[in-house]
Amino acid sequence: MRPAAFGNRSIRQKLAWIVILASSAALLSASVAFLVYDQSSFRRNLVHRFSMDAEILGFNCASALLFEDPEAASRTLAGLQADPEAIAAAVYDAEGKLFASYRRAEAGEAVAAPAAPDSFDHRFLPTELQLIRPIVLDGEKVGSVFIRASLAEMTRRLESYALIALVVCLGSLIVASAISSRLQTRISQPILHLAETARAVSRDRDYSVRARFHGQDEVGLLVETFNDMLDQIQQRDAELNASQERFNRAISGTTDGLWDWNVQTGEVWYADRFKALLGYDGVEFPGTLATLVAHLHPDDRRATEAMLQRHLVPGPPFDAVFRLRTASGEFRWFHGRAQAVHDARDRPLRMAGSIQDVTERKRAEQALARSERYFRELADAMPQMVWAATPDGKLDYFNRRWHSYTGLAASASVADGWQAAVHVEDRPLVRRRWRQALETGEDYEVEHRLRRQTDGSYRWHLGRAGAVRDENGQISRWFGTCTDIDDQKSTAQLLARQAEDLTRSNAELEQFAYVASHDLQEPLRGVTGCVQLLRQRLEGRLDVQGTELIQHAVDAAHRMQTLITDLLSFSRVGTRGAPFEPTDCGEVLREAEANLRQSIEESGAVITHDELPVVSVDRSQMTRLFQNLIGNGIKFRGDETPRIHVGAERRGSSWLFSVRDNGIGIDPKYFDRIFVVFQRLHTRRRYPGTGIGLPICKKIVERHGGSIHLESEPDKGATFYFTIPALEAEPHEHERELGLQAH
Amino acid sequence: MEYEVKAAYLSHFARFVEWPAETFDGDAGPLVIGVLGDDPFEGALEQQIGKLRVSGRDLVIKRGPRLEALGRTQILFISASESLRLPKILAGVSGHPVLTVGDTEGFAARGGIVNFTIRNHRVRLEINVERAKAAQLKISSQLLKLATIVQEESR
Repeated sequence: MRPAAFGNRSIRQKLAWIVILASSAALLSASVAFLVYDQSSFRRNLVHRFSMDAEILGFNCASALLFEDPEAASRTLAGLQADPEAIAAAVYDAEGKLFASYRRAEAGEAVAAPAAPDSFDHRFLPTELQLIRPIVLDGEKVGSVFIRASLAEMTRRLESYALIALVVCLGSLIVASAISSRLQTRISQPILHLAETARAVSRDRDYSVRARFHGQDEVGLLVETFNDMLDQIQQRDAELNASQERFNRAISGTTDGLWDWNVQTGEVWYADRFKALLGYDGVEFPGTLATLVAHLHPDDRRATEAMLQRHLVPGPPFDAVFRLRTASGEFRWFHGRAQAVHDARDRPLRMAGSIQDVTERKRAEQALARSERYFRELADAMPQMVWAATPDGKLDYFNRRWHSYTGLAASASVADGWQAAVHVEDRPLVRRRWRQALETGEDYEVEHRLRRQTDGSYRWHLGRAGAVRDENGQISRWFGTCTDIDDQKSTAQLLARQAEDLTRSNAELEQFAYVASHDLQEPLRGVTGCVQLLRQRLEGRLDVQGTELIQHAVDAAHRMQTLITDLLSFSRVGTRGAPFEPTDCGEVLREAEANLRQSIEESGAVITHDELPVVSVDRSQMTRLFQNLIGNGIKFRGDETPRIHVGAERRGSSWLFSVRDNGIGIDPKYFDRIFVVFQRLHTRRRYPGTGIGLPICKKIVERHGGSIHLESEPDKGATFYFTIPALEAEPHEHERELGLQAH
Repeated sequence: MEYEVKAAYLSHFARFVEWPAETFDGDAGPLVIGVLGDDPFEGALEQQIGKLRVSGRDLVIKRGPRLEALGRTQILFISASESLRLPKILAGVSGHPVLTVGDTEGFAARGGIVNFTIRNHRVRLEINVERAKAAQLKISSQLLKLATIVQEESR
């Protein structure tokens, strides 16, 4: 049995073999010892026996020798016939001459006695014992006896002994193996159980099983150690599983393609994801590095391989972007990263890495670069200055216009360098606004002067900037412009000055009108009084012509009085207005009707109205407004009885009031004129009045934040519309503007 | 030559015959070989015996024409010259432990104990066992087996 083969046997067989071999060896050596002893004792006995025989033969032949009677000696020797082992014998006389001999009949010629005796006592030849004994008579050697004895008996005996030993050995072996097979289970059973447990663990990957503990011997220690080991393995296995699971999750979660190169064997493991990224299944993508290299884009191959080699030396980490050909023949961009493991002598052992499909990113980068180029071209094409800044307010981009205008290079402009171009007086404001914008994230807007490089002059610019925010609402960038507003600025300043002048002159005019109309009344009252006194004194003394002259003077004075009163009231709308307070327009309307009672009664006018709202107004001016509009409707009546309706409806945040009459109407071409002071459409004789009514109405409405307009046609009546802001909503500026525009 | 052999044989007899102890002069007394009548050995006897000692005894040779002259002997060779007087000689030693030896035809049958004969050109022995017993001699079977046992002729 070869050792290796024995080594592979089970413990049970080994133990059986050990017991059998040991007992065999013991039995065999005992048998051999016994046989050797037996043989040597047999030989000794044989020598002894034939020595005796020789003695006797010698003794019996001595007389024959002395009396030279070979026949007698032969007869004596023939007595050996009784001993089958004696195959030949001879007697020699004192001179060594053959005297008589004997040969066993069946022995043949070969065993004849030699002619002369050798000088030995006895010797063993392979198949026989030869023995020589001197024949001594009375102390005198008279001859010698030679005997050849066959060892066949001994051989037979040896054979039968060997046979017996063999039988005994075999029997012992059977008994020994029977005993050992019973006893060895006490040793082998725990080991076999341990082995079976180990095999089960290895086969089923079940680290929760434990070997049975049977006792505190070495095997017990082994079982204990094994179980301890299993504890550790189970724990490690759990950790490994967890880690593997994490790894698998990471692998399945990652879109990266992993690979692992055994540098020593040249084998490369490509993860399924790796092959999938290139559109291959497992068969088409052999696990060698050459496969990967063959798929590299020719333009990227040299650089990528060089980087790989540098990393293996070892060197810097492998981190490269390259193109790989996919199964469809298309080249895609990949970002590859790898890390090698080196041994103590810096020889690379393994290298593991990943590839990531960055084609989209690459395209996006290219698109971004393109769009950035577009942006720059666009920005450079703009007449305005364009700049960009980081979230912390450092400017990092300026378009061409900036450089050409300020003469500052990009390096001199970035960060805070741009401030050099701002006028010294404007710098604090600009800085403050910029800081404020950065802190609040609100838009930046400031007017400042920028130095023009060409002539050193400063021109006004409107600086504006807005934050660009990312998806989280965090400011990622600021984009800004500087627009040359120098010309607009001059114009605006001019306009503002003019508007200021206008306002001042308006106020002066209003003041003048008020003062004038007020102060004019005093002399006018004097003139009126004097003329009336004159008419009383000259009563009856004047002719018709003189009377008419005086009457004209009185009328003119009255008219002058009325004009001044109207002018005064018009100017008072702006200068003597009362504060606004919530007012019921129904009451206002009744007040207006009361003031107009006389003309209503004279004309028999019918006045109707909708339900009117409460609005915040100057009550007396509102009364005046209704009174003027209703009075107009009565005054410019046609042939029919005047019917006037006052309406109100909600329009957004305002009330739209309407005053509709059935009078003579107004040609639309006069719509503008009727709101102008002292413009009259009719003769004083036909429709008395100074032409101040509607201008006052317009002024009142506008003071309340509303607007007024009308719809009319000649002979079809007229409807005046005006708006007043509703109580709950203060008028907004833009609505005021809208109202103005609508007007 | 023949007598050289016979002389040797005579000396050998001392080894195969046992005499009563009183026959000798003490334990170391010599064994005497007597030759009666004409000595046919011609000195061969002395030559053969020499300083031979048998059972611790010296061998001594005596010669004489008469029995009386020889004195006590253990082996008595009776020469053929005494053939006629043989019965008288044998009678003279009868009852005494003397081994009588002769080499004449019929010596043993006539009352001698050992007789040399020639057969096949070799010297052979005839032994009269009855006479040996009568002479109180014990003859070794080794010797007897070489010899022809002879019965006395009826007297």
